[in-house]
Amino acid sequence: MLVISLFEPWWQLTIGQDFIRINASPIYTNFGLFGDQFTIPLIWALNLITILTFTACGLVMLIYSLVPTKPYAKQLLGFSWKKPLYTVVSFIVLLVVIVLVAGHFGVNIPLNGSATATIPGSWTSGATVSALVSGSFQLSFYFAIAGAALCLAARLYHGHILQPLIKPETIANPTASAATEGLS
Amino acid sequence: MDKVKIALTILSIAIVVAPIAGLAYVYRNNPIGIVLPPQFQDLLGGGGSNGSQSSSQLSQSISHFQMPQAIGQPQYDSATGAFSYPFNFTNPLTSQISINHFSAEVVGENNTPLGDVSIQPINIAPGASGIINATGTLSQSAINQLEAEYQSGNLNISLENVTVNFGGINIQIPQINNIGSLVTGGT
Repeated sequence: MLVISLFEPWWQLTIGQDFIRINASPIYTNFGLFGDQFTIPLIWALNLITILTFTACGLVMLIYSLVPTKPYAKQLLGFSWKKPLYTVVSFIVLLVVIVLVAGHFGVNIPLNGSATATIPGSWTSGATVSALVSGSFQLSFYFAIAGAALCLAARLYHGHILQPLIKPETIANPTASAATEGLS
Repeated sequence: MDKVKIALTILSIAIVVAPIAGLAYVYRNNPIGIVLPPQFQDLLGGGGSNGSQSSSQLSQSISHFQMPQAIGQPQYDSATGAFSYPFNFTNPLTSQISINHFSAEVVGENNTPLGDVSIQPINIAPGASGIINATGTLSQSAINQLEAEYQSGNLNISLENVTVNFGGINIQIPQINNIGSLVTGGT
């Protein structure tokens, strides 16, 4: 998911015939204007945080998969399973908010599909500017959903199947167990 | 288990703090650069993100933008009232410019209707120049008036109901005033 997202955005917005292009994803966001590509440094930093987070989650999940019955396995799982899901949900919510805010100002931005957006004349000194706007979710977005679903499945698998297999004495305080054995 | 929890917490904090701290350090001399891309800083004349001079493609494109330049003299057919006036335009962008439609009504002083003007669809490759041939119809009286003004170098014409379609974007402008300098090639 991370590798694919580095090369393909989760959501793409095109205004006109590639006049303006917005490639949006938590991994990499950039803007195209008149064929020139640019990024906003703050957004780039946030993207880097997401990349590092996903990388850490992947490595921790990998470690968890090797030691699923260890007492610290649940903490490893707890660190890694939530973040992809939260990222996907947050991204969708952010997109919806942006679309709703734009709609409030009279600019119609489709999440998935095409529409004609008209900029209010008050913004353009009386001129009427309209353009074909196309929004689409890319393949990497669906990979992200699949990845988040798998993380959720791992959590459920741990809770319902793996947890009963973990020995009780390994969960309890080992020093307390040793003291009890010494007294007896 | 506490050690694992502490380690994961420290890892989470480091992942968030490190990029932000790095960004703040890189842009410590240019805090506005954190939210304003270098390309737009160039446009605003602020130079590069670290104070050094840099020129993005966008800023170069904008700096190389020139209004269409009239070529030669307009041609007029008094029998039909048809005229044509070629302009030369150089595409400063890194992508092709496609003008699918342009039409407008020509008005003179006091918004007196003189005729209409349009151009044929044209595609201009990046960095290339293209000939935009403005054609339309003008009445003889309009021609006489415009010719007198043209000779005096003070051409007083405006465009009304301008409709432009390019690159999938449609623009309708109620009026563009004083385009005489464009037609005469003056400043």
